Amino acid sequence: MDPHQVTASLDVALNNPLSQSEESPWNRFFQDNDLRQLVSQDVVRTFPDNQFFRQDDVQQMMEDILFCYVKENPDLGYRQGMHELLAPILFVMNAEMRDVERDESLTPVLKVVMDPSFIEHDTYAIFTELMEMVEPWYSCTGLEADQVKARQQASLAQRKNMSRDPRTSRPFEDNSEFYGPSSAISRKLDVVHNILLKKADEVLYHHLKQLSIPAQTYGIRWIRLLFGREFPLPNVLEVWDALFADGPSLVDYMCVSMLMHIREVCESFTFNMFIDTLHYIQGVCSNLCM
Amino acid sequence: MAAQGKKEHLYKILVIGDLGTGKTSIIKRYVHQFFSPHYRATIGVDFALKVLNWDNSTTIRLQLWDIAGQERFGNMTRVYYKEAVGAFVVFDVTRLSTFEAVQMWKADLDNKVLLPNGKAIPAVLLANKCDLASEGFLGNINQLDDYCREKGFHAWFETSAKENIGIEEAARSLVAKILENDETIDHPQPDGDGIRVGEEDGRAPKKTKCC
Repeated sequence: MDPHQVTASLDVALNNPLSQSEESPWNRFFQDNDLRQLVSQDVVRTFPDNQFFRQDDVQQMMEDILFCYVKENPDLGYRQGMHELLAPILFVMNAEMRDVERDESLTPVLKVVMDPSFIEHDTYAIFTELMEMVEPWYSCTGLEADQVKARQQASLAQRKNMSRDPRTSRPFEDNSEFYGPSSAISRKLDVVHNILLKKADEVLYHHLKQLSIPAQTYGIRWIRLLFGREFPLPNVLEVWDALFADGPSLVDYMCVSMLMHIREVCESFTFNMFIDTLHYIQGVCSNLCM
Repeated sequence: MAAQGKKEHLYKILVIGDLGTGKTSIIKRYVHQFFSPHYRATIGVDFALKVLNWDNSTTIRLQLWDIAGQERFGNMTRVYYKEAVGAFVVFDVTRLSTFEAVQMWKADLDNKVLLPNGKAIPAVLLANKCDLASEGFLGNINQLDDYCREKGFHAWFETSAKENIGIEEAARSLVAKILENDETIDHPQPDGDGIRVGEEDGRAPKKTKCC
């Protein structure tokens, strides 16, 4: 909505650009501009090597979709990484709709369903579905800073009490001390690292622990982007097929299997090669074919 | 340890600040002497290693932690900040909101990590993208000396990853402070208690090179 065009509200105390009121149409106008700017900063740096994402109309479409999604989901807000979940969907939708357009043998119904003029709408719908699945892994950061602080203080106080009592010492204290009760992705990484990996490969688990490499240093990106940077795009699509078919818990097992895939190299790393290890883990499968 | 009693240090340094302020670009410039306008948004955290031959007898390895601009809103920064001994806080001189966020980042830092002697870790403020600086902002930029004293920054520098301005100087300033801390922390009192100096935040900020 452009408040320049709004004439309905004649209350100039409210309807003017300097109004501090929440209800001022200008207030929303400025907030929306800020949001667009925020989203746009990530959209313009989506898959920099892929020409498709360098096109102005594609970038505009991504910005519009993310903007609308955030307006519909104000509690979550825009979180970095969403843009790279949207990108593969838009990429595939575009490719498939162009194919259908060219193919004369297809039924008229399919032509309607896959009408390229609705690519933005269809992509939005699919993106929204995907966000349903991954939203908890983003929303841990959606808390206001003071809320987070309050929770940290609460958990700090709780820890102090607990540490005085030897009976309540916890097995995973290394990581669990770091996050509050709200952080779904941290809990998820905790499960991946301290339960699944430990069970599947205890030697590797201890090795990473010894190197002080917590799962948060590599796993956040793996999970939030659904491995979007760990594989080339065509392989990402295959990975996603499997994830969508099997459900979100497959993500945990993917993480473990990726770690195990690199266990030999990992084990040869020493503390001084900490950064190399992390780089290696982060980029683990970039050359791996599914 | 290398031959001839050569000293080696390994320091963990954080690079923080709002999103799109150029943290990744600064690191790439510093470590790889290279600039590209096409970096992807950092998700979570990224890493780089810079090896410095500080002087004839000292080699310094800097572990640079490039932390995503939105992570301040989460409670993950505590994991990332752990055991850091220095930080760069970056803002974009063309966007006032990124400067307003600086004190939030600094507070987050001071809340979550301290030197072994209980003092705040040294932080250097980087006014990045100074090649794009607008007149309006530069008018205020000289007040940054006062701002740094007030907020406890060791120093501030105008930087441009694109034009390679100020980054080496800023890093030297931070590393010098870290080495100084290292000596005072390691040698006089192993315990670290009681070295609390009255002047909490160290020296007056160094002047930047002009842009």
